[in-house]
Amino acid sequence: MLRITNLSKTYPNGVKALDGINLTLSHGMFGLLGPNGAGKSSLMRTIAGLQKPDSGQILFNGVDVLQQPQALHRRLGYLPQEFGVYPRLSAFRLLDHFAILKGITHKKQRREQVAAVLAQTNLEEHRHRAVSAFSGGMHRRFGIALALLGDPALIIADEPTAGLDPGERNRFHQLLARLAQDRVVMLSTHIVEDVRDLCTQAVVLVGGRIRLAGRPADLVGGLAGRVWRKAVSHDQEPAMCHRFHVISTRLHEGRLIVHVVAEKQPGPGFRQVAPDLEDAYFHVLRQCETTAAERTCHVA
Amino acid sequence: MLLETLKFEWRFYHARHLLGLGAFIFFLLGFAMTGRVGSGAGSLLNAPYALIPIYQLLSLAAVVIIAVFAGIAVLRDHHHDCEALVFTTGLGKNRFLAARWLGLVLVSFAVFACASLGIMLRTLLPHGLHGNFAANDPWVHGRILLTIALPNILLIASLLFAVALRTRNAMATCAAGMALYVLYLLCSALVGSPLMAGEAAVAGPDARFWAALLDPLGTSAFFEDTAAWTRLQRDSVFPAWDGLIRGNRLLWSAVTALILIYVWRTDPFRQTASVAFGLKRRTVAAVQVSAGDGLVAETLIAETLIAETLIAETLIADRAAAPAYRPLQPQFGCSQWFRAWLSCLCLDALYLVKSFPFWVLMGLWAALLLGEIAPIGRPYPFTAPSLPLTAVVLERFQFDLLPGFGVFLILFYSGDLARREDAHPMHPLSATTATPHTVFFFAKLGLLCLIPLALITVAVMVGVGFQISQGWFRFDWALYGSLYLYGGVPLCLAAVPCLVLQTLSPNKYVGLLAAAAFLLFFSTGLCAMVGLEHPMWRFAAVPGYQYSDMSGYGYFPEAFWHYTLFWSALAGAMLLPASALNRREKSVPLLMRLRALPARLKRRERWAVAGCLLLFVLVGGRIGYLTNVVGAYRTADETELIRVAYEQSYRHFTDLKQPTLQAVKTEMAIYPRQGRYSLQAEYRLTNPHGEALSALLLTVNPNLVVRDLALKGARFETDAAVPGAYAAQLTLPFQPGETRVLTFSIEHRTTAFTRIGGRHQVAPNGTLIHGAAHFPTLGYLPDRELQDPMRRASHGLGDPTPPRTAAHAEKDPGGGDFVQFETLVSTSDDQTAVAPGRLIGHGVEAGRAWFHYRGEAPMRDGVPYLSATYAAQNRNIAGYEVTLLYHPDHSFNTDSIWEGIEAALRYGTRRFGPLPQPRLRFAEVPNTTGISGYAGPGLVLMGEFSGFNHDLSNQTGMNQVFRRTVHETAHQWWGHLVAPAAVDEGAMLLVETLAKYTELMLLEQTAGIEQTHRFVDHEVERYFRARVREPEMEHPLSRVRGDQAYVMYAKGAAAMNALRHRIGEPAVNRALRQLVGDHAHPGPAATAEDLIRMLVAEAPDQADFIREWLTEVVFYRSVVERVTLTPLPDGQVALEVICDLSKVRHADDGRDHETAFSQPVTWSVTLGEGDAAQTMTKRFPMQNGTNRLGWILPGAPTRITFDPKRELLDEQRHSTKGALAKPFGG
Repeated sequence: MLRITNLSKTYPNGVKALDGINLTLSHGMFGLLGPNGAGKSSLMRTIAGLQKPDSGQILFNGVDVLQQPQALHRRLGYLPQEFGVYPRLSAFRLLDHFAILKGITHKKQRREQVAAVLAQTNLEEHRHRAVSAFSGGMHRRFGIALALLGDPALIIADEPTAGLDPGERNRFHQLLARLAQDRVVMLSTHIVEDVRDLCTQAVVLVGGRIRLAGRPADLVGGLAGRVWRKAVSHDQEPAMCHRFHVISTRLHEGRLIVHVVAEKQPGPGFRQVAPDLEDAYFHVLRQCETTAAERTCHVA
Repeated sequence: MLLETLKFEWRFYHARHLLGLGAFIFFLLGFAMTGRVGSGAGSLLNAPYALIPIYQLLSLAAVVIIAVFAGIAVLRDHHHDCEALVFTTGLGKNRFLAARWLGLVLVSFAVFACASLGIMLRTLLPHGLHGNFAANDPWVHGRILLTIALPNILLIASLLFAVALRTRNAMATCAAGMALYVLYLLCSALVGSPLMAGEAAVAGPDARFWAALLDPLGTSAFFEDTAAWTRLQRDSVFPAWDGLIRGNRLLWSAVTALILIYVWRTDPFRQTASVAFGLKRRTVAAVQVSAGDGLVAETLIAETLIAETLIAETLIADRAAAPAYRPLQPQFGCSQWFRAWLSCLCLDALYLVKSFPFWVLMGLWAALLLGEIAPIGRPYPFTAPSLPLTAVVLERFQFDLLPGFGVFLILFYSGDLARREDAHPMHPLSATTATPHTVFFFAKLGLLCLIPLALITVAVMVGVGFQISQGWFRFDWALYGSLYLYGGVPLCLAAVPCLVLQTLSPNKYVGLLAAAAFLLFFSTGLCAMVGLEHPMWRFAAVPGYQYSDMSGYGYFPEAFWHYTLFWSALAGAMLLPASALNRREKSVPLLMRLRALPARLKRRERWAVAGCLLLFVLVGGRIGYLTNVVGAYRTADETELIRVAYEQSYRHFTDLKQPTLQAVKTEMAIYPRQGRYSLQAEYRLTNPHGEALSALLLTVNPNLVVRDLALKGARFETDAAVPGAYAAQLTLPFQPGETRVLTFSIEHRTTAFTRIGGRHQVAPNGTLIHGAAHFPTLGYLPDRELQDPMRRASHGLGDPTPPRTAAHAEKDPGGGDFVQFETLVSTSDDQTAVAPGRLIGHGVEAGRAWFHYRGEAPMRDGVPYLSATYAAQNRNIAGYEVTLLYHPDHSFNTDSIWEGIEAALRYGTRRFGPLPQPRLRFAEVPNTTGISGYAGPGLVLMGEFSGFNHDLSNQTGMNQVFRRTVHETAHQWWGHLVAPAAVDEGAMLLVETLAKYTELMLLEQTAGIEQTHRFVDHEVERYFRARVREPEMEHPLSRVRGDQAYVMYAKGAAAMNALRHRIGEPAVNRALRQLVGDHAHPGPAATAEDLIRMLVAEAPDQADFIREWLTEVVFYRSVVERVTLTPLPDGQVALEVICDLSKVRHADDGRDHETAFSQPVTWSVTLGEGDAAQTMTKRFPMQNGTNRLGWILPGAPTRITFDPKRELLDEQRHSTKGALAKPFGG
């Protein structure tokens, strides 16, 4: 069980990365959604102990990990957004090394577990190849293999599918889903589909604050019967944005599809659609933008 | 546009604080080097001659900073992940390369030029330097910067730039810098650069020529071109742009140009670092994949894609067969920490040994070692090679090269290692494990400690390989092993500040420069410049690090362990906080990290730091006690003040007559294991003067304490400001002819913490206590006075006591100080104690061996006492009982030593007369005593590496051990039987020059006249190379000073050879026999004039010749312009030689002046070859200027020789010989 209370972090350059985050996580896959710069990586780095918050508390199984980071690190599997490895070192050698760092000192057991995680991540064939020569997908799988070493109760995966092709991404999701059966897997992404497909719980983080939290199905509940869709030309888009509460625009077969939130039909040509997680996500983003703009106007 | 780009480059370096830091370091270096390197003794310290070597050495230092700058210039795009951005702009290859290269040169030169400011500032603050400064001339500095420094910077910058571009690897760039360093060292060693402390010119002219040409920094060319410069030239002349300097500069400028052309033509512009460096990789496809927010060019290997496709297809099947994943409960604790540390270390070590630059560096190190070690086995002219003993091999690199190279490498690798996370960001992975961060930090330290291990292992391999190549299989593995301890541990300690400073610094390069500055300041003695001269300021250095086969490391281990504990405690106190600072949040500013440090340190870490600091203080206190109290350490200023006080308090004793010593009786107890001796002594004094004496002065080494001083009618007083001086007003005047007994005792402990009492000390095996250094002397000693005129003036002292000349000797002959000697000397029961005289008893009592010696005839005061485990050989030669004592493992050359002893004793006894004492001992002493050969009365000492360990298997007609033994044996006549009068000038003519003469005569007997003449030529060359470095006035042999070795030995040999030829060996020997007859004890002490008078008496017609050689500084310059051979109709050959000849006299104004002369000079021609060769000689009248000589010969000569017997001291003989030696066919 991971409980986060009032977690805040402001960087020396004044950027407020986290602003009073409160979260409680139990077994299952947990999705962190948010645009770039929303604070996802900051939150994950802070939980992982790579940086200290300015205030707040993080309890892992009842232990304050800010005071005793080792308590979390003993059960943590961390897959950062980017990581490097020394060149010319094989996957097996590196995994063996990290297994030791994670406290697996018994040689035979360690070898077995390294073999197992290599197999789980489908890297068995490449165990003697230098990791630095791996492709992007293999590199990410290697990261997961690292995260699996030991006995992780919490796996933090920061943008794990970035840069992966659809096939790799799919395989990756399956792996994560399997792992989440008996542990907490925290997944950050800006791909809404990933959260929808994988996560039992999700939050939308914007500007360092949690704007929306809950089960993915529940997150869209607030928009039921309020989302309208219309195909428009590119020329019409500015006027649409001006007149309606447009939450998203996307291209479909070369045409612009506009989603609008409205209590009743906003106009001719609009068709009501069932809201999905993406609508909820963009709706929150739009609300945040509007709030920020209003605050700016107010200050001005 | 280029200007704008250059401005950007400047701002870039400036923003990284590198410009300021580099400029500050070079300013300090310039300041520190001024007056310490490059200047000839006595020369102006900021004359061009002195400044050029400083700038050349600074060029060497610039390799470090340019390597840093080159790394930034080339690798910064890669390090900051902006290659894709930079190379996708419109920036062209030419502009990119030009901007980066010019930027590199610009900042390097700007930083370098700051040294000029340091040099000029130093000249304004002359305190502490012994020498003079001229007014600063910025133009001189500018000229040197442009002609010497700039080409060096261009070369270094271009080479390192090229290597960085081609490899994209910082360590490879460092390796290229190291290659320059190695080349420089090898060339300097070959030329005999004065910058290489203690090196003599070891190679022949051809090797020196090539070394001068190939030295990348031009230092060797400079010293080779200016080798013959006089002091006047050194003070005023700027080296001309010709000779080897021009050749060297042109060659390396061409190399620079070629490097640049290569760079421009081959640089794979627009390829990322991974591509550029991985040229050998099987790159078969390049695709672009989307990644995050942008596009990143990435090379994928086709094989990988194929493999992944296969993986996708067989995913389900694979998973079914895969080993089951089961979580494992981690275990933490000390065992896991150790395993994690070991794993990190192994991983880093694997990374290290898999890197190409590492092996390049190891290769360079091996090459450097070979260059240093190989001369051991090389038979240079007239210096026998050493046997390749392990101690001899190690001595070549153990004490200077290994520490220097090791620190250099650790410095660079510390930067690479500490910032490896930046290049390969594994930090998020390792930092989120439960392994404490301290483990990672100490693993890095462990890796840095592996570097000295690797260096030493390579050194051992090279050393053993060299020994095997010389056919030597007696490896001293224990000694090789000691390298890891005594050589390795200080280097490991040096790694600590490097790592700590890297942790504290904002980036790698600032950390690198800060660590370099720290080590340069605290490990090289530069700190002494600002008054931090106590050995405890020298980080990771231990005083007294030396080795002898006889006494091992002596008492050094005690100091070593103390200092190791001392510095380790400090290192521990630095490491733990640094480890805490290094944790996780590297992006947080240092100040914030420091502020948070107390909270970050865990309780046990705080206790550990406190414990380290406490240990540091406690051990430091003990070292301070052992150094300052037991070792009586004094700073240079304190020592100087003692000299000043001694002169101010006691100089009036020069006018007060003192009693003379008649007999010395001592009881000397040597305790080799404890490193101490105890002396009870009794001096029998007499008043030989015609008046009563009322005051007495005893002077002893200021670091020794004389106790229990007692003399009838005297009460000795001491002055705390003048330790080592004991003055007494005699309440009972010392009447003429009266004899009194002075008794005293001395207790002394030898310690490795200081070197008081000189190098002659108690040792575990190989004690040498020299009476002259350890026993009190009667009267005032002028050599205790401060000599430097500027320092004297600063203390308000006038002129020093003038040297005693022959005129003094006539008034007060003194000299000799022959005494009756008796001693009871004891030592540990496994050693033999040796002193001069007849052994009248010995035995063992209470675990102590005692030996009772008594002199059989009066002997000169100042006898040595020895104690060691010796093997002994005894022989009776020409009525003398001779004993040879040597280290049991050093029996290699005893036969040659015996030959030398026998030849000298027989020749000397027959030609000069018998010695009064029928006993003579030869004993080996450790090389740590600094003695190569020393002749005491009836006891000759020979250094272990100066005879006993020479390799005589590859001699070229001359046995060096034989020659040296003859020389030392000859001193029983010249120095002991005939003692020179107590004068400061001319005494050595009667001691060293006459011993040299004996050596020459026996050399001629055993090796032949040709070999002897070659030896004389060698001595003449030595003389001319050394005389230009004379700090004061060169004296003739009749007034030679004690410190003018090049006159007494080198010119002395040439003079005695010339006299022997001109007046004949029998006549010289008769004169010498006469000298013995008239002046041997108890006759009056001899002077140089006595010898000259006797030589002239033997050959009155050669009086001018004799006086010119012995009483004047005169030499000749002969240059053969042309040699023509014309066949005559009658079958004869007309030889015509055009030869320029000049005679030069060294005048009292310190300059050499050509002087008129006209005299016959001998020429010889050789007809035919081999056994059929026939030599003809003829004397031709010659005079100043061009001489045309004609000679009708019966056939074509194969050799024409100017002055075949070396009767003239010819400066150009070497070049003339070459011109004339070539065959002259019909």
